[in-house]
Amino acid sequence: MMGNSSLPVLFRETFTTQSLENLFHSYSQKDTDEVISAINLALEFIEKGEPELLSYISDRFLAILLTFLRAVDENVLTNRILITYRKEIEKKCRDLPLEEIEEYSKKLGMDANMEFEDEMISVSLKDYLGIAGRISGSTYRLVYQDIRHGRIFVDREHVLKLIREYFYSNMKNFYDEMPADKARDITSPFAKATDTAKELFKSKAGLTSPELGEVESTKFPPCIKEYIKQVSEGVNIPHMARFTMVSFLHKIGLENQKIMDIFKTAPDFNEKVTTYQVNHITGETSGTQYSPPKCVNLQSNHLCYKGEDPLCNTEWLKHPMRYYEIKKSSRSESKK
Amino acid sequence: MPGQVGDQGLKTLFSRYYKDFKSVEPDQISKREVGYIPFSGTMTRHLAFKTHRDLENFVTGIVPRHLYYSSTYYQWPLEKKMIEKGWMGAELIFDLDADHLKGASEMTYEQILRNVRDHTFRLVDEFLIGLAGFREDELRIYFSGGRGYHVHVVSEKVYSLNSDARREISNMIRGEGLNAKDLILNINNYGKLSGWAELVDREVTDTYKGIANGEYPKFLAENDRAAISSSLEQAVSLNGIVKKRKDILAQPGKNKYRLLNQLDREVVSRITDDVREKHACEIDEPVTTDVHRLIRFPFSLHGKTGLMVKPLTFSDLADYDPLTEAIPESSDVKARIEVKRKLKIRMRGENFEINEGEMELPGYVAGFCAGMGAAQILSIIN
Repeated sequence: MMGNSSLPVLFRETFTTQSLENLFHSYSQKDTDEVISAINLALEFIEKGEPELLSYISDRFLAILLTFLRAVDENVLTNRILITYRKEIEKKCRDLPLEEIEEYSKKLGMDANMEFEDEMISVSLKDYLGIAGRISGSTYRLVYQDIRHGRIFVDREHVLKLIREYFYSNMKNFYDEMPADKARDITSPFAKATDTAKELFKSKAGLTSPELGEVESTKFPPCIKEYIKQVSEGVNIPHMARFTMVSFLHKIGLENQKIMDIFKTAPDFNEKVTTYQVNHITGETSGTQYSPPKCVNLQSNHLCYKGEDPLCNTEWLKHPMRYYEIKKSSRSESKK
Repeated sequence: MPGQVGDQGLKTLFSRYYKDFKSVEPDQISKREVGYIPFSGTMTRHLAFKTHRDLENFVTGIVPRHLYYSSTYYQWPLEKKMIEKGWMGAELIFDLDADHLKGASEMTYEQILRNVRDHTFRLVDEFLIGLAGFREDELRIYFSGGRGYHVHVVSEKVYSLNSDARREISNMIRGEGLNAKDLILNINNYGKLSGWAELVDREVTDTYKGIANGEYPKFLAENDRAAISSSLEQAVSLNGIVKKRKDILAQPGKNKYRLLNQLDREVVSRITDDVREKHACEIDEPVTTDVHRLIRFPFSLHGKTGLMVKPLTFSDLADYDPLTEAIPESSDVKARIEVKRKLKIRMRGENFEINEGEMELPGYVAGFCAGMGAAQILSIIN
């Protein structure tokens, strides 16, 4: 029986630089074995492009792995591994009774309470909003929550999503708060492995920035630019952002193959799934050519990146397509 | 500077007030950015004061037309660049004013104030205390001095919230994004119906109770009435129990949303829109989602009315009359003014119908007229 005592929480403050350094420089066979298995895991991940691995899921193991990844310093790779672990955590929790899910949520630092009467878990408004803003879809919007005096009542499925985001951000914090050169110092006895991992990853990924050809990417609205940037940096963007990006690029005439190339760097890239999704959105298989959502829908899903952009901030700009049309026509006019 | 000469009289009136200015709010004054708009010139910001006493002395000296502080706590509030100020957290603020009120242009100032007060009451009562669960002592309610109210949540529960999280709260309060399709899709996730789902369900249940008794909502077309009535008599099986549809649709609870036909969906959609219209609070969204906002300083004067930004308790709110309560004592003088544009105003329970020309009026009425740009204060008579 998988008790939640073995589920990781990975708080950054549990691991000092010194304690990590001790692990990588240790004379103990046990420590060295653990470091080596973390490195092998990373190499295998790069080699196969998909994870096998994930029975290793202790705080200590993850700390070693993330320190190594920080030294390798390839964000796309790290993100793919984080996403894999995030899924794994969700999967492991799925088998737990609700009481143990509650206990694990609390360990992760969430203000969560078992609500026996409803067979639900209640989460404080503060902690709910800290996480739910990152998950898109109407199901996670506050306006559709069972909210009672400052606590959000969520069911099993919903709390699993919160947990996996909590855990993901713990891992991400661990990684982001450590400077790459510090990580290289810590892992110096394994400098060769670090270099190997980096080279292997580069040769496998064939990372080039996506070729967009005919279309004028400088005329894209800030949201689309941001999605493309995030995808090519290996960020796992929400479904709605993918949908918006694909339908937008299709509408302006980009070929499906070129659209798919953008996704090659996505952390959970799967050629079959991506081909299916792109062909579906662009109408190849579905018969329906979908249009990107309106600005207001992107805004309420936190997917609007208008910032100070003057065109986006006009009252009348309501659709990302319109942005592109205006930018394109204004250029051809100024040429006259 | 435009308006400098004409505003001199108003500045004199304000200087009487700021001479003895006593500042006690906001908390942690040394962590706040302070900004002001003077009687001549433009906004100055990025100021900071170690103590309330320091701020009082400054304000007595410069006599601001408008005075603001940051709802944000900063490590270094004096830094000019936001990124260098060291963001530590921010109050959660709500701005309610006439700009967001339907039909405000047709209303008198008094009507606007009453209307915005009702929205403010609903914000505090239904949303902030009722749903979000804040305690009364975590809330600060202020008359804004102008055309509305400000509500601040001052609590550890909100300081760290980012802009996206604040937008969720704002969307909930405004009913933004609420629609029948998504509500029906998500309602099964509720343990007990609460929030918007509860409000909509109450209305849906009542509507179907009515329909079962032959009382149809006005929006239901004549030929749909027979169809919906006969559909309510049909039997359905829910969780293995056979019931008439009306016994489920006319009862409170989420079960009914699994049984809706096309016509029912249209009814629910219509009701959802009505409920949103009726219960949403019109708050100014950008104010709530901005985590660097400057907002009016408690007890400062509003430069367009001469009224105080005055704190009040939740129990005061229901029948608060700012045009009596927010008049500063220092304006209890007589003033001679020249009126350029006629206007009507009711202050301290007294109606003033002011026509063009020179006249003597109570200082607070003169301050109001001058602030609005309808008059010039010629002299103040003690």
